[in-house]
Amino acid sequence: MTQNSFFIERDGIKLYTATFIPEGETKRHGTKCLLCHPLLDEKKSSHRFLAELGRKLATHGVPCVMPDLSACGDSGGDATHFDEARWIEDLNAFVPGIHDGIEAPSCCTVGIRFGASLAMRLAEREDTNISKLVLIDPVINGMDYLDEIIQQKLVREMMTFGKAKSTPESVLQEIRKGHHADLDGFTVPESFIDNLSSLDISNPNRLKRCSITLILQTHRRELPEPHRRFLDNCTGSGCDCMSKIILSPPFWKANDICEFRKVLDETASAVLGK
Amino acid sequence: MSDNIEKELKEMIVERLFLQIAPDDIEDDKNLMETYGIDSFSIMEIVVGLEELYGIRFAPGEFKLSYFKTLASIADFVRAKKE
Repeated sequence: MTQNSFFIERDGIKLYTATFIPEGETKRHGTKCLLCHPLLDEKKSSHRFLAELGRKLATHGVPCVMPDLSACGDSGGDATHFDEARWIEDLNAFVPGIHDGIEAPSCCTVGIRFGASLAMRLAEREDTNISKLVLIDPVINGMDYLDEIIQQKLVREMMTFGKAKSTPESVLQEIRKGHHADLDGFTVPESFIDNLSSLDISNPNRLKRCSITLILQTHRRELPEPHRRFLDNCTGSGCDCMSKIILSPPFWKANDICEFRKVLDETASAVLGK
Repeated sequence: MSDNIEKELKEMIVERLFLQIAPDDIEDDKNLMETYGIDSFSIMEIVVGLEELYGIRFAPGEFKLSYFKTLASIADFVRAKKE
């Protein structure tokens, strides 16, 4: 397995990318895997998982590409590039193998949280052929996600100052006034709120037939209603769907290094079709 | 008032935070952060747990650390919200 990293230029922005390449052509599995990171602090908490997944899949013959999206991680761009449509184009640039040099007959996409929602949107495109989606705790509804990250901001303020200085309304007002709001230490523009208000993947009416594995790390033993409805609708669109619940704290929330072996194995099995 | 709020809260906290202790081992007056290593993500879990368990929505101004200091202070907050 060889790990490389490099920058490509897309639409004036330098995108940082890591690749994980199997040794020797003969061992190749026939599919490549595109790894989609989540946003904000969840990206930092997921980095080690995605890199480990890339290495593991590459040792099983699956070449992987793990780009940092515009204005995220080590890629270029500022708050004005913090945009869902732009990120889908970023990901789409890596599907055909033009930029990463990894050509394969089929493409699997693994996404975590918002990265999973982007993977869904990517799979809905006419010009993209994604045969398999592995979605880890996908964000189903953008406004629920926004509520969550604003609440997280208030809890952080509470931990620091004893009480939250902001309110959900004041955070939204600040963004709506054209100011860039600080969420989780990241500068977020008003357009991102518009992105989230239109994000709802629960009824994927443009999704092409593909295989979908939903993986949830949770304390629950059953799928929450939004996730169950999402899978039912994907099945109704002709997709071959399955779900896995892993009873453990989500690695993408962890402040410190945490154990993710079980979810890593389940994710790799889903990609490899085992 | 006779209710099961403390018991329900202990079960919810142990389950949602995957604490490796029995619910009854949580002492009502022990500092949750110092004793059980509860951090901002854990408090977020408790906030969501309170919403699911009791339908409590945190109003602006209610994100106060003092409410989350001990199991007893969370229970007092829940009772005040339920009144």
